[in-house]
Amino acid sequence: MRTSKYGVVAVAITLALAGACGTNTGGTTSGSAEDALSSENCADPAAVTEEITDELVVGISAALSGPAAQAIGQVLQGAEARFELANQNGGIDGVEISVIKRDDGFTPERAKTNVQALIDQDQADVLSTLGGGQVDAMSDYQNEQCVPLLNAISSVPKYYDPVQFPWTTQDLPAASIEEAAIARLIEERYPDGVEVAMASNPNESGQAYSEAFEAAIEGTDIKLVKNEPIVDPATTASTLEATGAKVLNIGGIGTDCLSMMNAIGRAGWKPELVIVPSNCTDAKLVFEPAGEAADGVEILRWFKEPILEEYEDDEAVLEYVDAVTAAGADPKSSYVLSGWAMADITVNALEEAAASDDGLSRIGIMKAAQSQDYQAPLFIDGVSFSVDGESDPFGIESFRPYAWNAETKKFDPVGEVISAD
Amino acid sequence: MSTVTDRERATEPRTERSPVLLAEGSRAYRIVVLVIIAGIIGLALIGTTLSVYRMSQVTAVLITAIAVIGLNLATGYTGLLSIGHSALFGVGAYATGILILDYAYSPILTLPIATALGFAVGLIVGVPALRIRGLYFSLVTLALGIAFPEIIRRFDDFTGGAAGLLIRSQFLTPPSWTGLTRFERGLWLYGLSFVSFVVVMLLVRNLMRSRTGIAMRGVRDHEVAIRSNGVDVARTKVLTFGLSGAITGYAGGLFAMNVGALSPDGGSFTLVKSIELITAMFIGGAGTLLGPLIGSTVTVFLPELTSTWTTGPISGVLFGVTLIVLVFFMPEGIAGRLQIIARRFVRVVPPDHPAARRPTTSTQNSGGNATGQKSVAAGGAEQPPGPNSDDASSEGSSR
Repeated sequence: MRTSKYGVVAVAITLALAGACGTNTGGTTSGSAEDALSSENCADPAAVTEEITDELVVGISAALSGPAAQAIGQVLQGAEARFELANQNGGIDGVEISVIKRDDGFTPERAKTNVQALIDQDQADVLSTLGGGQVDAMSDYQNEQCVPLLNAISSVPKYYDPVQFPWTTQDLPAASIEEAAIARLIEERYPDGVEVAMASNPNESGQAYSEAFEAAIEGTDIKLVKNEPIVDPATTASTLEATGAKVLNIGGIGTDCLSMMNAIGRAGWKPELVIVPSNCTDAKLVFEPAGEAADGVEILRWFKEPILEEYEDDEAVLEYVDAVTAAGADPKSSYVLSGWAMADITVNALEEAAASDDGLSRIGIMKAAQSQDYQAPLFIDGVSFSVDGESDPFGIESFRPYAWNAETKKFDPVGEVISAD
Repeated sequence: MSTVTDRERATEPRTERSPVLLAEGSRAYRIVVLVIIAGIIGLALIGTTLSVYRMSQVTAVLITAIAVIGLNLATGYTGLLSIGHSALFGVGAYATGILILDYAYSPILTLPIATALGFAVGLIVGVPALRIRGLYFSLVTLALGIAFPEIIRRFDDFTGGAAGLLIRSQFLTPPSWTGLTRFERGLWLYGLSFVSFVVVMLLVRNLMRSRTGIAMRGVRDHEVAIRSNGVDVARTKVLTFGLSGAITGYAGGLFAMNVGALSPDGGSFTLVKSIELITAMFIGGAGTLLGPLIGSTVTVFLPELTSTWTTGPISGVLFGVTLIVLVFFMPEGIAGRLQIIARRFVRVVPPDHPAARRPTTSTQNSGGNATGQKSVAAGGAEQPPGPNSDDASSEGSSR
């Protein structure tokens, strides 16, 4: 045992000495997005400017197994249907898109090895993923290798920074943008001010919503009387009910919205206005199961969806329905639509890159992705995906409020498009 | 036709192949050790030729294996079932992350501190083992595992809270003396993990052959008996958990350097990680030396393999079924089963083993003995075997 003790100490000292020889050369990148988006800092600078002529490989790390696989599988169905439509329309300037998926089981460790496999083994030209933890695990390597990670389905604040992460973009609206729009909506409804209670998930997304809302109401007549974490929804609901707030803002994800709606329903609390974030959009999984408790609950949306009555006969909606139905997906699923939208914005960036001076190269694609003003056919009129380097890194900045009708099981518009600007 | 009684049958010389006894310190033993060392070096070198992706997977296996060695020390060797090792893993990971980001430490310099913190937390967690045992102690560790992500969220000034910590590659540049660039970080981490794994495995091997190691096994197998032999059971339990925490904390530090993204929500430091470590330990073989490596290899590569057979939730089911089949047919773990098979052919005995000391003479079984064993003594010559003693290198896997 004595030998082992000395052994442990010796190893520790050796490692410490070895460590002293190392240097921490870390630091943050400075300058503009244009400077940051340079091939000079890349592992293989030549590959960054090389034009893609044979096939464009989109590599996706996603949960193909595990509890999240069902929902994420639908997202991927939507994305693949959109890429397939692009191929049917002649590809990107004649270059066909192929999709390679790797299973990360929704764990960051596997996303980390996946990004290496997708880049080094699968020779992916463009990447994408779903979930903030996945982007965290992938961003460093793909930025180092200068392979675009486009329109990740996440909304992590740090990845709306093209100076620090020049090769990474996200397609979901930032929490700061969405909560600013929610603050505007509340201001419109209560011009003389109102007391708001907030229930937020203690995870990263929930905290982002919470902090963003607090920032958005600064200088307004809106007063946040209580911000309670959603640990036990029943307790959260009763605590917030006691505040007497007229408005309840739920900063949760998916099932949080359902459990909070159920909790306030059971508590018999009926705030005048209940708002949930756009990620809780799925009617089948979130609103329908809540029954009466979801009646009148409002949500901000930006898609024309088949489940919205006014867009049932819209040309873009019909094209979407045909394409995803042919792919065996459910067009009424918000997950399928989310995947389609991600791929749609990506296809637009690829087409713009192909038409640019840099051509369909990695750098051309990334420049195009950072400078888009795209009125997607499936976006509600007045909403567009608009980004412009570090001056405007947020894609979606406008929304239209809808309220759930528990009787008809449909969303009804309850106002015009609101901009977060 | 004559009948053979049980007694007669028992005294009959075996005709099956007899195991070779390999005496420690003998020339043959040294040759085997040299071959093993050469094999390890060869494997390490082969690893450097892998693609970045495969190398990264092997690094993940090695890091998980180190964490499982830590768990194995407490659970496999000492019988203290821990469901909270994800927290000890997290302590090491966050120690490394915070020291790199907030205190500008060189990454490798954070590892001894991650180890020390893991040791300290392990000691604290081990204290309840003095009063409670069995599943009740496991519940204490379960509480630790549940509490850890909440603690991370609560102390967000240090830990980044729910948003987590992102250690970017420029902070993880290999030390200059390695001559490696930032883009060769994967090779550096592979090498570091490989050396770490070998060193940790050797330390644990030596520990288990020491008095403390015997005491640990005694605590697992018969606490009352070992106490009556004068072993301080309380000290053994607490020390074991401290050492276990130290090793798992060290693995956590390596994990932070490898993945670079730490979050309380990603499953890296939740009970999911604890279950992964426990699964790896039992699949590989609890209380065996090579079990952690084999189990980690299975838990890293098997999900990838099953996802190639089919996609969607079914691949998860296939993964589960494969694990059940493995456990069903090899309840002692893969390493445990391999050990049983290997012992049919060769057994390592201490240098003072009677078989190793006796002069060479032939026996009635042409080189074997009544129990059918052959031995290779100090000179490498075959020896007449003596009584069949316990193998000193036995890992206790046959429980």
